[in-house]
Amino acid sequence: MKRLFAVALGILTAIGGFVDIGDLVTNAVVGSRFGLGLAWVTVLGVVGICLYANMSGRVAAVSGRATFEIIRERLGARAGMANLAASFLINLMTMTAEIGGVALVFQLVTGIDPLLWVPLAAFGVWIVVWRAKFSALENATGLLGLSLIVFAVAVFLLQPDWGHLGMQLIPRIPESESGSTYWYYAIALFGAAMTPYEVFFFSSGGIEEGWTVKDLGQTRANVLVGFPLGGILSIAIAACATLVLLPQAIDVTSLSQVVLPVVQAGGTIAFGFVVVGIAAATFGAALETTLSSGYTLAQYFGWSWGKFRRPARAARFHLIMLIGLVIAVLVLLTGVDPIAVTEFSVVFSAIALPLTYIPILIVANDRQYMGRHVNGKLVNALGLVFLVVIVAASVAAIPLMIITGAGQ
Amino acid sequence: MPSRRALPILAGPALAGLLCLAGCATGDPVDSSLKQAAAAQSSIVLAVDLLGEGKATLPATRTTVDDALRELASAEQSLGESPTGRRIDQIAALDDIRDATDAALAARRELDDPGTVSRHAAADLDDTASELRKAATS
Repeated sequence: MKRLFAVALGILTAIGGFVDIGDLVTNAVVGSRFGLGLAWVTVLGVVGICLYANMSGRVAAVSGRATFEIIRERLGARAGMANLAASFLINLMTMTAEIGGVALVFQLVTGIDPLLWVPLAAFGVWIVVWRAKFSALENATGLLGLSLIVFAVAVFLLQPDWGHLGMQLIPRIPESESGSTYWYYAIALFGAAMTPYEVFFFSSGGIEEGWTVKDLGQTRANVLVGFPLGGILSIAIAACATLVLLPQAIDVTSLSQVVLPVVQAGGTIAFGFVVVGIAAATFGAALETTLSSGYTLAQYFGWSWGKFRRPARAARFHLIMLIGLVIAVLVLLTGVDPIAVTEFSVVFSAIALPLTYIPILIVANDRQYMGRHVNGKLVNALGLVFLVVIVAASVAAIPLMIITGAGQ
Repeated sequence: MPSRRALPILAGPALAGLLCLAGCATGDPVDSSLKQAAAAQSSIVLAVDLLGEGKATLPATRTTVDDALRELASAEQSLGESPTGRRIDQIAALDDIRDATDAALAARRELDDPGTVSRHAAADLDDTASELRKAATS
């Protein structure tokens, strides 16, 4: 019974923790401009993140070491450094976007300028990272993030023409959009679904929670059930925007517009759920990205790390996280739009994807670390297919960003 | 050829250059500014309607209006600064955007006091949003 509860809790937190500011904004933007014509990209991204998160979780459970430690050891310091530099910068950008997202949610509730909430949000993240237990922070934000199910409920409350909505799932480029913007947002959605920090956090979280080979079934259930259900939430966000914002030609540029369809569907009660859900999702992702910044650097340089250690015994790990938070706050206090940071962070994530995922595939095939738990033929075949997609997205991202003026 | 050590240092300027290039590459400034302004004004109309129906809260509505006002200002600024070959269209578009901004500001003032938007202000929002949509699609 206890085991079953642990599995259920893991799945629920995986669903609630799947959506972050990148998924929220990108799905709403895409829904308001392309309808559900890009939903296939979310499905593709979810399959990809399931595949590689499962691989990195297996590496952690079997070897007892986080992915980054092994990447440096297996690929050498130079290749590891390229991976580290890209991952750390993208992670910092994502962290900035998440903290900005928390501030925007508080603005929605209070009407007070988000710049005043930015330092408080960052302080909240720091105090939780410093004081709270790993399982507590993961479970609390994941479970509260389930409030985002209100987006799926809103789709039903809006009483759509299901046939028409279903037809929207067929990939097509609307007349008002160009092919290049279509593919630019396809890459953004792909980057949002396969954000690198999710893999680092998942793998390092496995070490924090002391996973062993016995836990492989549970981790597989978390990934293979939780993430796809989280992906359905992402599609529900896009569907809400498709039903309410697309017909009125309201292109999403702010978080306040993302919640309008939910408010139209369910009024103030639905608004309550959606702000709790977005606050939990962005705050949870801010915690994860903050921890990921500490994990990546500490694991590369071989420093003591982890929340299972007292802060005094992992001082550099905690210092890195604090410095990361200060940088994020300073960037946001310049007045930069957190939504713009989010939009760029998902595209830059897509650019850096090969640096994150190629080493994971290499390590997951190394018998020296994995023993009999190396990838099977099917997983390797799928992994290679996804590598081709990842590299294609990475190569196309910059030209498309320039041609489309970042999706304008 | 930069040394390997210099590559991480060059990453920052390269990133900034990319963002600038992405920011510079826009389509027709009249069309894109009208589209941006129409979207912003339509979101104000929707938010004000939801407030009137008792579905939206006052702070959330204020936030939507503030966000949309920022978009209107951005549309006006980018249109005003961009050279176009369609001077008459550009002036007409600027007029439409300024009318929309005036209507949005009037609604914003009413949201501060008395906390609701009058029928007259709501009608102005509707009219200006329709004008922008019409101009954006013509």
